Amino acid sequence: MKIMRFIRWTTFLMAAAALLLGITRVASASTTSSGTGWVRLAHLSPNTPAVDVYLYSFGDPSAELVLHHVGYGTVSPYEALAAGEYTVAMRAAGAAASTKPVLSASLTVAPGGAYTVAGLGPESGLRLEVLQDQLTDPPGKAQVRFIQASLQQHEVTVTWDGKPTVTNLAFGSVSSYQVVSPATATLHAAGESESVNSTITLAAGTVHTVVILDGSKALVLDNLLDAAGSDGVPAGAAATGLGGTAPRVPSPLPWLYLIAAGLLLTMVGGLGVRLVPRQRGRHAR
Amino acid sequence: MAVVLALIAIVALGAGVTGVIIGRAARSPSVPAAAAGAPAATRGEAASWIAGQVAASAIVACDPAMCAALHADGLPATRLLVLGTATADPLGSDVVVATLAVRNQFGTRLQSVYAPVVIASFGTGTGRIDIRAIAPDGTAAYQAAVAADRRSRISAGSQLLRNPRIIVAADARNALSAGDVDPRLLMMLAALANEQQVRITAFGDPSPGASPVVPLRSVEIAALGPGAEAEASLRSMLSFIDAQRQPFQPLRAVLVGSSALTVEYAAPSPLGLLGSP
Repeated sequence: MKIMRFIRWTTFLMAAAALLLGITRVASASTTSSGTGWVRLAHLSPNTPAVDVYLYSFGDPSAELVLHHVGYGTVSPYEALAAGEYTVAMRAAGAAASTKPVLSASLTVAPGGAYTVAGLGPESGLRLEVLQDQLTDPPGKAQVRFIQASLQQHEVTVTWDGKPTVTNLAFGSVSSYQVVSPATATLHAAGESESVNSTITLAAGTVHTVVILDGSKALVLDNLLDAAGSDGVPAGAAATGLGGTAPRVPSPLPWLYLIAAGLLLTMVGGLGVRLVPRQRGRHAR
Repeated sequence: MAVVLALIAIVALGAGVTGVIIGRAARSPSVPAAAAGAPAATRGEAASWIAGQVAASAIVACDPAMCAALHADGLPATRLLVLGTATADPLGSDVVVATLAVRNQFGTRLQSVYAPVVIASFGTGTGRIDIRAIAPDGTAAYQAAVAADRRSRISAGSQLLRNPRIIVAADARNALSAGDVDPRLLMMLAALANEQQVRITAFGDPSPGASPVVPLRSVEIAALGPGAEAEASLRSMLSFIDAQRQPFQPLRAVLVGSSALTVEYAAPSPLGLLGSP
């Protein structure tokens, strides 16, 4: 009987410890998450071949992010990265293994910050620009900014719902975010010889980046949703540390599993503890 | 067509005038060394340093005698902005060679308005020659950028010190944590450490008399591991460094035997390469 009691109490204590440990580790993981930012990469240089892009962490070699074969018009999903400093390097996609990446820019990822690292300009003057992305809106409003990535049209003017929004935006440049009233309306972008219309919904609480691209025949608009809602997390961001291309922020899932295990053990242990007096009672009778 | 020809003519005329001024300064006894206020030896030292250490893309502002010395040291006339007596300011250049003549010409405005930071200095007294970095947007903006850059370098250096693949000697550790290391070196070291372990033995700066705010532009990396393996590791780093383009292409990157690699970037150090911490 003493042995059984010992086993039951040990089970109960282990379950409680597991539960406690789980909670503690989740708290710790949450803290880590708060030290996370988000980065997406955009190839917006029309005459530059596809590239592989590397982000090297200053402090943690395991936090490297690599995106392969990023071609013109490609904008990657947001990837979670631990806050800190990164060196950005590029290499022609498909280059020989002996070809070394070329350092191009640096990126400081702040906790909760979101960034677009965009390759802009013509191939001869390709530059990587780090754009700070907005994640929240003024109440009841939407925000939109424009990236002019058309080499065919040197300057583009954009109207939203018939009103001029950006005038003569030069190739390779980025407008600031503009606060607009939510609506579904026509976005019209016109260059010297080409124009394009697109019906776009800018809902309240959303933040958009619209990229003006050279299409095969005419201008093309790529409407990117930077953020939706007020949670301060970019739209479509890869869950912290899961998916994507490289090790990043630790996933909370193991700790959730640990909690589940803890709860299960607690239930089993508790059930055992509760059953004992009944059995005793039965025996006593 | 006419416009193109006119532009070519203007450029040719400008280059010709510069060449004539430099040529005269080099030959004419009317501009003796003493008139420029610096002994020939000091001027020669300054000219050699500029020719060997200043970025090949940098425009150098100088008085006629100094420009002649620089031209003799291999700087093409297109990189020289000759400061005649009627020149209002040294703006348009990247560095200015502050001889006595130049100091007299611009007075206190040289330091307070155009070029607040000395990146190297030679000689003493009135014969002293300071090489100063130009502040194109004014001293206040430049000083703010210098301070911001230092904060970024402190943050980046501290992160490199936490990198398990970077081993740092004590003095070099102090330089990293104090933000004394050139941002190009910091970015390059982060990339190298992604590939392999890096042992930093020292940071240095071949800039005599430089202001304390001027970062260290060179690094010595020691080999890790036994003989052939260590050399292969250094050669791999060298090949990575050699592949870089401006502004990350160093002035020099050489193997020291099979035991070390030294990398040196050109002056002046660029500001704003690193993001704000």
